[in-house]
Amino acid sequence: MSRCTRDVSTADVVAWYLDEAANDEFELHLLECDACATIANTAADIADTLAIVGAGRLPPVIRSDTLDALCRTARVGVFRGILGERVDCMLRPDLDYVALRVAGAFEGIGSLDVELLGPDDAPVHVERDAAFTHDEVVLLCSRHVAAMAPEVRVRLVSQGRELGRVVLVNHLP
Amino acid sequence: MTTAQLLDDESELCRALLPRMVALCRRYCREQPVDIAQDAMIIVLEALRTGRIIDRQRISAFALSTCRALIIDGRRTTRRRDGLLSRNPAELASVPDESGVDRERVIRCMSKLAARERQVIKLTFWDQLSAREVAHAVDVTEGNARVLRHRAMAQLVACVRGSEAP
Repeated sequence: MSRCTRDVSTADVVAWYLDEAANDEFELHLLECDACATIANTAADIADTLAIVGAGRLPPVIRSDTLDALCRTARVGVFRGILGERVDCMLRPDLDYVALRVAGAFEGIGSLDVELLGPDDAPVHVERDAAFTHDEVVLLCSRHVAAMAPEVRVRLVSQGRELGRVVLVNHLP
Repeated sequence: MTTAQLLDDESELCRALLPRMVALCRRYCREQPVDIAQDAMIIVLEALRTGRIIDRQRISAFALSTCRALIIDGRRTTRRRDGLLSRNPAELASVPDESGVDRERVIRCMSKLAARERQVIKLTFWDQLSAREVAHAVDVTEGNARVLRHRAMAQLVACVRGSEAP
């Protein structure tokens, strides 16, 4: 990527992005500079992402190290389960997210699709090529879904073959 | 390459200028900034074709004022766009459908922030609080809240754009 011809720093672009006042000189430069426009777009992407995270709208499957990071930044109820079993839990109302670490033998599978099932057992959402390790997949549920659904049912599928199901049952306090 | 140097080729001009206009619009409005930038781009093209922009050095200034005008009044130029695009390839003023940043990377980067910076970022972007409200919540002056916010955001941008795994 091209470099900024004026040596505008990342901090300067961020300052412009966060400040309320318009800045004619910088904004004219922005329309001439790919490097600064890219940084500004990254700042906007981050702001949008943080708003999404704050609204409880993360994807339903995340990496385990992302869950660790999320636990340091949000209120996450983490539960553990085994593929094929039902997991009973009691969700506190102040949680941002509910995470379920599902243990299973995923070694050797090429790809993993995670299906969230509706009341009629039909998928209401399919997360294709979901992240997983050889022994675990991390499911994430927003506080809104967890609060509404007495149980969250999930089916794990690899190349059309069902690997198993897991059910998270919320016993409301 | 500057926008003035790109004037001879509309497609090249769009490819270079439109992402920059999107970056500008995203700072001012969360709702449909890409649409506004596209509308502004079309107005710029129309102005070039009709000779309203003669001085090549003025194109960025014209683009800036156009973006601002559309942001302020929220005007939609559907009729103008339809008319112009009927005479052009539809992709002329299109923005590449890129996914932006890796959301999980943003979370991992955020977890690396110091506790107070992380709190300021959460209050700003999760809870949508103003600098004054953030200052009250973390018990610092409004100026200090802005400094913390700037510092934390710059760290996030550097982390997200960095090559190292956060």
